[in-house]
Amino acid sequence: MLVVSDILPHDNPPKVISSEDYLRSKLKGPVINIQLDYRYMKTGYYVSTHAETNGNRVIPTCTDIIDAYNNAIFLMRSEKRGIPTPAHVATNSVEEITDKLGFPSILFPLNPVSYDTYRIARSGDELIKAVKNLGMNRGYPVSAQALLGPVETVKSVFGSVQLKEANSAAEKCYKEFMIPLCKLYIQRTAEKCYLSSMAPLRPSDLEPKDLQAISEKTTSMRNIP
Amino acid sequence: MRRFEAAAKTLGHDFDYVTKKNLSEIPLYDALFIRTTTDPRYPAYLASKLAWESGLTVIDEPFAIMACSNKVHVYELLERSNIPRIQTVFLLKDQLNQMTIQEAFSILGKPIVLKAPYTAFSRYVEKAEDEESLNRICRRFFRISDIVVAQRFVPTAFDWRIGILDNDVLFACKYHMPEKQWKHGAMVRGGRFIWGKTEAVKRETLPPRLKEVAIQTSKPFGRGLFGVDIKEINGDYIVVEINDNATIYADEEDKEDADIYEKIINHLAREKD
Repeated sequence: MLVVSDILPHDNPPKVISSEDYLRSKLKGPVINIQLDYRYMKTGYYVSTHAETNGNRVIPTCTDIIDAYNNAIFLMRSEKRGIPTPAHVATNSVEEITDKLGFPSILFPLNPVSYDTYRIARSGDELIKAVKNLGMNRGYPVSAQALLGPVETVKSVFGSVQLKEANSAAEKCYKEFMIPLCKLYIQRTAEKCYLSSMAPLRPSDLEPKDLQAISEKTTSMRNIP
Repeated sequence: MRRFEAAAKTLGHDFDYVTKKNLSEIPLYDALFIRTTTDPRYPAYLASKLAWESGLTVIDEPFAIMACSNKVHVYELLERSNIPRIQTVFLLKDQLNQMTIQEAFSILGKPIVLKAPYTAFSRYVEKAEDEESLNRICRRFFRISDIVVAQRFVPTAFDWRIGILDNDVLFACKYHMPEKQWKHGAMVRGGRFIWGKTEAVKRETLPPRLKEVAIQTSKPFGRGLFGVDIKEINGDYIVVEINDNATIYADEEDKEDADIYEKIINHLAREKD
């Protein structure tokens, strides 16, 4: 298995190739694509495109990337997988959100520009503003969820997170979407953790121990055919 | 849209419209036909995915949207499938420098056609005559995509547009270029966007080789509805690109083969594989 990454040192085992070198190559073989940011049309995404179009297996796939970063699809697939998710709806209708979810609710954008952001609406007025803002004047729907508890973010490294209560949800999330590195938004109640959203990581999110964990994981995956 | 609706009702189906306001109703239907700009960033992809996951037949399928809406994906698949195509190279954002620009001009000649991977309706497709214009255009396109598509400039008076449904020819037309323009849709002085003439051609009269190239082009992308753009050069055919969500305007693409609507409705009404 070939490791393609712009965050792992290239002289560390296992052998790591940069995204640019991989994109210029016709290398054959399964690929694990380790990036902080897999957003559509960014280099990390194109690594997966290049692997797939050349007939190679790749983690993560283009479909999984697009789906994971689209909050409505992320929730739909997570729910199907049995991962606890809040009640949710994708719409630009304030009335539908109010009818189906009530207050408070949390809204994530589904427009082509915004990412890693959300709004909380505790009243009709706040909801109208949030739908207008995140939907770019209602040109786009939003992904609205019931707000069940405080929202926390955790860093997921191959499905492993620091927050013990979120471990089960994070592991299932990784098995469903196979996104090696990401930020997960979690809604936390006394009973459980609900998966709320996924976003890219930023360089400041990565610590040396994370690089160590990634290297160890990719070494163990390296011999998988 | 009225012709689609009429065809559906004639064939005994109910026909409703879904918008951003009632996406959640999609699972209640048997099939979904998407007629809005498709792109993984837009609601059309969500609608397609929702339909697909709910067991509906859908045009366009999520994979078709994902692959056809990104021209990097398109050209990589065309290359792997050995489809005759316009010579293409990719320009990477972090590697664009004088050397790579000169290399691009050396491979493709001058001028170069630059395409943003998210191009649709002839928009974000521009010509670069020299290093300065190439840099300027790429800087704009790199704001959204880390890769820009560069192609050899192959001027022709028209492009063939072959409509494909379920890997068979559905309709055909010639997309003529407006006067003094090099692509079917062009921005002119004053900020107006103009289109060249669309000349429908009966599908039975198409040269066999043209049909063959169009059908072969569609296969890696699925069994949905596609528009394959092809240039005719010295008696042979090379693919410009493939598009999902093929344009069908009343009295234009449908002028010679009026059964387009019935065929699409019947395709949607089939049992999902």
